[in-house]
This record gives sequence, C-alpha cells and structure tokens, in this order.
Amino acid sequence: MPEFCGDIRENYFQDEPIFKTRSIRFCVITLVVILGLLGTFLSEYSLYLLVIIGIAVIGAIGLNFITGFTGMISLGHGAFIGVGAYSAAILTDRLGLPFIISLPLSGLITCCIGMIFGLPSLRVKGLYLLIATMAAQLIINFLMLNWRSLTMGAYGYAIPPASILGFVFDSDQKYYYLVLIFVLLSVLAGTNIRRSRYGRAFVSIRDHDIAADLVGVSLLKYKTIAFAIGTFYAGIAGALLAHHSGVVSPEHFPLSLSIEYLAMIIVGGLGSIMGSIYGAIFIVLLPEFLQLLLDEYMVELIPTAAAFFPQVNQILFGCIIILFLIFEPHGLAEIHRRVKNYFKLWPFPY
Amino acid sequence: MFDRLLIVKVAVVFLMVLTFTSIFFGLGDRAAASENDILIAQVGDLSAPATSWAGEPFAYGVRDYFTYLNSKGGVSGRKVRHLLSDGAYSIPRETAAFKKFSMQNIVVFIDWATGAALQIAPMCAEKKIVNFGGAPLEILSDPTKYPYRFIHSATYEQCWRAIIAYQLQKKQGEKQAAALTYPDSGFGRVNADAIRAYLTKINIPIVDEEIVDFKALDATPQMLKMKIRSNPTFVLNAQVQPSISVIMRDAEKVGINTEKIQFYAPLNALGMDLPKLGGSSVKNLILSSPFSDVSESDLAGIKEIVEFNAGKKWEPSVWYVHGWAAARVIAEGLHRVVQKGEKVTGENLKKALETLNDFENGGLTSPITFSSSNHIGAYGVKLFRPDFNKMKGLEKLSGWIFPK
Repeated sequence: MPEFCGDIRENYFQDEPIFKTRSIRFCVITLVVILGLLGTFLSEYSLYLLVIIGIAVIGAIGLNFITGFTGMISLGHGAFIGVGAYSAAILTDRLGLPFIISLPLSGLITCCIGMIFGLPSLRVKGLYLLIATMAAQLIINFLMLNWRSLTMGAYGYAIPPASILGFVFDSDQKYYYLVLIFVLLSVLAGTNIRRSRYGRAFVSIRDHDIAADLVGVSLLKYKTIAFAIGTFYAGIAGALLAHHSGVVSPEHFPLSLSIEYLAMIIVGGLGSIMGSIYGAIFIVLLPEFLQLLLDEYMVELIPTAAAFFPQVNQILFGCIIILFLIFEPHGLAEIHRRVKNYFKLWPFPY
Repeated sequence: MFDRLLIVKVAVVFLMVLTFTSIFFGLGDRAAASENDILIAQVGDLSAPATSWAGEPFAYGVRDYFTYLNSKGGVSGRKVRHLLSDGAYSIPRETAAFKKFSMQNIVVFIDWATGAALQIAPMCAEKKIVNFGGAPLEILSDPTKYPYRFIHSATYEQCWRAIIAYQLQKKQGEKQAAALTYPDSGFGRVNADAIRAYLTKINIPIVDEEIVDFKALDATPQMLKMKIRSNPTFVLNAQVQPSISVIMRDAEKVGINTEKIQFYAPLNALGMDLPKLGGSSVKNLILSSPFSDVSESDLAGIKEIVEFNAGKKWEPSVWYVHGWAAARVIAEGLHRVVQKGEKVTGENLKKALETLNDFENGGLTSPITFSSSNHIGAYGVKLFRPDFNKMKGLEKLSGWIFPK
C-alpha cells in the first residue's frame, strides 16, 4: 500500500470535515477544555466579561453573514438584538415558556421581524441599504419605548434568570457555561453555513452581484436567507443578553450598539467567523484595557492629568480602530492567517 | 515572506493579549491602601456626550467630599478610599465596573445610568452593598425590591409635584391648564408619565404635549402649535439646559407671553450658563431642584464646598452639590456604624442609614429621614430663576417646598 506524505484527500467525504487533521482536532479539543476550566477559577468580573464577549460573538457572527459574507451593510443589528431580548422577556414572563423553547423562538421572532424590514430593503444596496436598516433601528427603538403595554416602555422589563429542567443559571459562572455552549454551537453552525452552497452564494453576491445573478444565483433568495440567518443569530444573542441582565430596557439597545457590532466585524475581519470572535473580544475588552492602563496605572504616574483620562480613553479607542483600518484593513483574522501560514513553513522561507 | 510590519502587528497583538490576560486574572486590581480604609466605589459618566455634563460633576462632587472628609480626619480616624470608574453611559460597562469593584471590600456602590441602576440595584442587594445613584427616580425607591438602594433627595416626580403646588398656590382661584414638552427618550417618557399621573389625579387638564429633543436647535413648530392650538396657563418642560434655552427663545419668538404663561423646568435644566444661552427669554423661567445652589453661601454644606475648592479651578454646578450631598449622607451613616463599634459592612451601613432622622445634611437637601420601609430620604424642593444680575448661575426663588 503506497504511503503518502502530507494532507492528502482521495474523495469528497474526506474533504468535508471542518477539522481536517488530528493535530487540528487536538488543538480544538484542548481549547474547549481550557475554556471549560476557565469557568472554575476566574473571578466574577472576568466571567462577566467572558459572558458579554460570548454574546457579542454570536451577534457578530450574525452581522458577518449580512455584511461580511453578503456585502449588505446593516445599521439595525442593535435593534434586532433588542427584539430578541424583548421576545425572550415576553415569552418567558407572560407566556411562561421555558428557556429552552423561548430561546430559539426569540431567534425566529427576530428573524420574522427582520424580514419585515429586510425584504423591502433588499432591493437597495450600499448607502441606501444602510439608511434603510438605520430606519429599522430607529423604528424598533421607538416601539420599545412607546409600546408600553408590550415592552413596559422606559421602565424596563424584568426577566427571570434562565433555567433548564429546574437548574437555574443565576450566577456568572453558571451562565458562562451556558453561553459557552451556545457560542460553540453558533461558531460550528456558522462555519458549516459558510462552507455550504449558501455561503458560496453569499460571497458571490458580495463580490459581484450582477455576475452572480447571471450564473443563476438568485439575489433575492440568498439575500433574504443571509438576512434571516443574521437576524436569527441577533435574536439568540439578545435572548441570552436578556436572561443575563435580568432586565431589558430601550437604553440597552441604542444606535451606538449597531455601530459597535459593525466595528467588531470590521476590526475582526469581514467575511470570517474567526474575525467575528477576534472582533468581539477586541471591542469588549479594549475599553476595559484602556481603563486599566489610564485609571489604574497612569493616574499614579501623572495624577494631575487624571481629570482628562476618561476623554483620552474615548479618543484612544477611536484612534486604535482607525489605526487598525489603516494598517490592517482585513482585520485581526488576517494577522492570524498570515502568522499561521508563516509557521506552516517555518523555519523555511518558502 | 515575513515582513517587518507583520512583526510589529504581532507584537502589538501579543502585548494586548498580555494585558487582556491581566484583566482576567485580576493583576490590575488595586487592593485597599490600608486594611483600615473604607472603600466606596462609583461608576459615572465622565466622557460620553449623553450625560457627562451632569455625570462628571456628580462623580467629582462625591470624590471631593471624601477627599475633604479625609483631610478632616476621615471617619473616626479611618480614611475613605473612593474608587471611580468611567461607565461612559454604557450599561455593560457600568455593570462590569460593579463586578470589578464588588470583588474588593466595598461598602457602597454609586451608579449613574438608570438602565444600569435597574440591573445593579438587585445585585447590590444580593451582595449586601449599599447603593446610591445619580438618578433620583421613584421606580428605584421600593425597599422591598431594592433593599439596599437609598435616594438622598427628593425624586424627579416630587420635583414636578412641588412645581405644580407652587403654580396652584401662585394662581390660587384661577382655572389651570398644563402643557408639556419632553424628549422622546426614556427620561422624557418617565417624567411625562409622572406629570400626567399627578395632573390627572388633581384634575388639571393637559391641553398640549410637544416632543422637543435634548439636541434640538429649533422648537418653533412646537411653540407655534402650542400658541395656536392650546391655551395653557403653565408649561412643564422635562428638558436640559440647551433645549430649555431653545424652547424659551422660540416661545418668545412666536409671541408666547412667558410672564403670563409660566414655564418650568427640572433639575436637569439647571445650569450656570442659562442667562448666556437663552438670553432675556429665560428671565421668566422657573427651575426646580431637590438640592441647594452654590450661590447659597450661608449653608454649612455650601461653605464646605467653597472651602474645599478655594484657589482651585472648578465649575460650580448643582450636580456637584448632588454628589457632595450623597457623600455627606454616606459619611454620616459610616460615622454611626463606627461610633457603635460595629464592623463597617454594607449591612451595618444600611441599618445605620435607616436610623437617620431629620439629618440636616448641611442644608444641601431638606432634612433626611430614612427608615426600613422608606428609602427616599428627602422631600423638599427649591425653586430658582436664572441670575441676570451676575449673568451666570441661579437666584433663589423659594425655600424648601414639601409637595404632598
């Protein structure tokens, strides 16, 4: 039997797995185990940040399907996350549905509401689509604030903690594990969708929609599917956020949240699942990092400048994002890819 | 090929990963300078354009009072260490700050945004940390729901009741009709609901409601509508300093007689620059506040503020007084705990605060009384006008009004 050297595949079945080699599978399992162990010794503050990052990852993957893969710029993602949150609150509190049913239902409800705004918007693209989705954000925010019989308006909607079969996720540590499971499922599902014909259709629409149409890719069908997937992810993220916060109010979902999610996928890398993860980590942790640097270390070095540090923090945040866009427009995922490729050949130059 | 720029990028990312790791493993956490120090933590809006004009002076008012207190010997010899973080009016950041500070031995946590307060107040109850805030709202005042939350002044709702009581007293015997202006935001809706509920209760009709955003540069259509379609005797404006200036200017422009139709605005509209911003149009504006103004130099609390800030560059503001007043109440509670010989914990501080009965608070608020069933400490509201003699600040119009 001849033996081959390298990563050889002899049929399509062998080409299908996401983790193609034993070493990749080992690394992924090790990473999952490490993530699992982190929940046992990290502090409440760290676990809280990890939960927020996890929820942001799910939301960012959703937005990447809409914007990164399909090229449709959306400024309404924050509002769709809000729809998911309020859906979870209403399904759990008013209808008494258990968490395990209300969570996917929240995603589906967000998907349906996303379609109400998405379908008319799919006829336009670029800046016009941006304005249309921004209108969705403003309309949904208005309804959150004023449809008081449904949303409790500005007073906020209290929501009980998530529970599955009597097990209540009422601490940051328990919730971390719950969110971790959903993050892993979201990443797996997202990776598979990207590799499927749907993902290829999305990318073809992004790269050249007219050519895609000419070769038989139905623009309306696949744009609708991309929007549906993206808003479903947003609904799931919103539902998880609602159960974690314990209260939802319109203040949780301003326009700046949509901009933050766009920043996540741009800094992380458009059109990349790993980019969504890196971007979420970066955007959530950067303000905390700057706070640590300025308010805890620099304030002792330059106490007289302490009054300016909050403003400097905001300026630095914006500058770092701009620097990323200038020096690494393909995002953190591109840095990861290039380092990975370098070490594939290392120490050989080619 | 491995280019130099990639090395720099990788190095930057590695440095950030290192620092992020230090966040997660708490390497940046600062322990108390001394085991004897009392830790008070606060998250404020120091940078976001939304509310930093109020959040910053409020936070610095609290910080400066504790600095002043420490210079006078602290709480029976024990220093108070004030930990301040910028929440940038972001609910996740304010909550993260609470999570970070609650790992240290804090006895009080002071929050800012209402949305964050709704999340943090139950967490404070769970961890037995006394909770104060920048937003004096009645929805956060229920001791059964938020047992560790205290409100050291009259609430927004009480301010409106005081204004309406003043109007009814001033125009006794005359039929009244109210108009409202407010932004279409959480703040606006909450205030509008409170006003509507009270006016309906005392049978005063609301003849007009206009939406005027905080950032509005023109309110002429709204004022024209008010002039043509309704005939209010007074107008209640849930606005801030810039927007109330715009409303008053445009009301005058369209010919509304602001001497005959009284315009009122709450705490959020109080500012040193009203005479400059609004000009003569704000002359007839009446503002309500649950706090005294820095111009009332005869008050013990104001004397402390002036003494502390002598020779320093500072911006007098009612929000600074708000912060100073909150810190004074907390300090009084801490004194009582230490005098009893008890350990300074959130639980003991809560019990001590609930013993406050007619506590003077340096005249910065009306006398404060807490109890186990009532955590709204004060009910008094003062009225002010913009001071056109000095072209800056406020002129006192009334003493404490206690609405029913």
